[in-house]
Amino acid sequence: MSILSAEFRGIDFFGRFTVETQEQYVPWHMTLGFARQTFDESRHTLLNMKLLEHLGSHLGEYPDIILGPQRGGEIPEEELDPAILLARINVALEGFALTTFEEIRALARDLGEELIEHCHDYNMADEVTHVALGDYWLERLSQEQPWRKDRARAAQEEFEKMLSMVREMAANFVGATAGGSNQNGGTPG
Amino acid sequence: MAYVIDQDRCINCWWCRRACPTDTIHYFDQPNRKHWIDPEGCIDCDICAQVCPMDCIDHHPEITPPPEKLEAAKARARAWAGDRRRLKLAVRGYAEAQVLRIAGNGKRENGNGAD
Repeated sequence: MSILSAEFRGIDFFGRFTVETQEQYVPWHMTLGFARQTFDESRHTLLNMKLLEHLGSHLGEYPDIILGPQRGGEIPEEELDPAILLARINVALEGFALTTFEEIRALARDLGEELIEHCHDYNMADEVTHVALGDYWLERLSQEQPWRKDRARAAQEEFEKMLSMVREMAANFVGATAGGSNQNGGTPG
Repeated sequence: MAYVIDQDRCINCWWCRRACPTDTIHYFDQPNRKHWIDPEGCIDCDICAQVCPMDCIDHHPEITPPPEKLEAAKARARAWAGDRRRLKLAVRGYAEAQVLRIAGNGKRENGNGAD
């Protein structure tokens, strides 16, 4: 469900990004690339909705959640620089999704869930394109402005630290919960 | 022996960096904003080349790290492998416990259903 939530958030983010960055005079073919990515996110949403149904659930059974801190209030204007957004979302977040999907795919394979394994393999292929798209346009946008590249790299580093922290928290939670269930007669690994 | 990332083809997805058992792949210290492998920490495990979605990491047998650095890197890799195994077993145990609980009860325990 949290992947489905993230895909919904992806449609919202990339839809806005496609439209709003046009005000900053980005190349038209960059706009086209991100329109394509928005379309990909909507396909992923449909795919995850169907997977939820495959597991016997449906949209609305669980709350719409995303792991990690949420941002509130005004966003400083410099953080709306497309180069920073590309570094954070396209390169860092979508890159992070690659590992997440690979882990889900491996877990699904271990559990004999062939459909989930197949769908996440498919999903992962799109994420590679998204990372490549982000990396290419970040480079192009900051070609003549090294300070912009440095700023984007710093933003990416900060964002990656946050993602790693969330990942560690999730691992600790699973470790503690699995330990508890083993004590109560759960299946040891 | 060590692996080398083709700087022109790398898309910076950071998968290799997350997968590297010796933490020898760097990115943020690079002015060219690309990933690179420090050969002094490379133990030739091939994991980075296997996960790379761009297939842009190649083996270069002519690069040889100093033996003492290689030993230190191998010790880091052994610790990493232990941690990974513990986490994998924990995730698997958690997933199986959830499936068994749902299958056993025929319902989700934390639901707010009428029953």
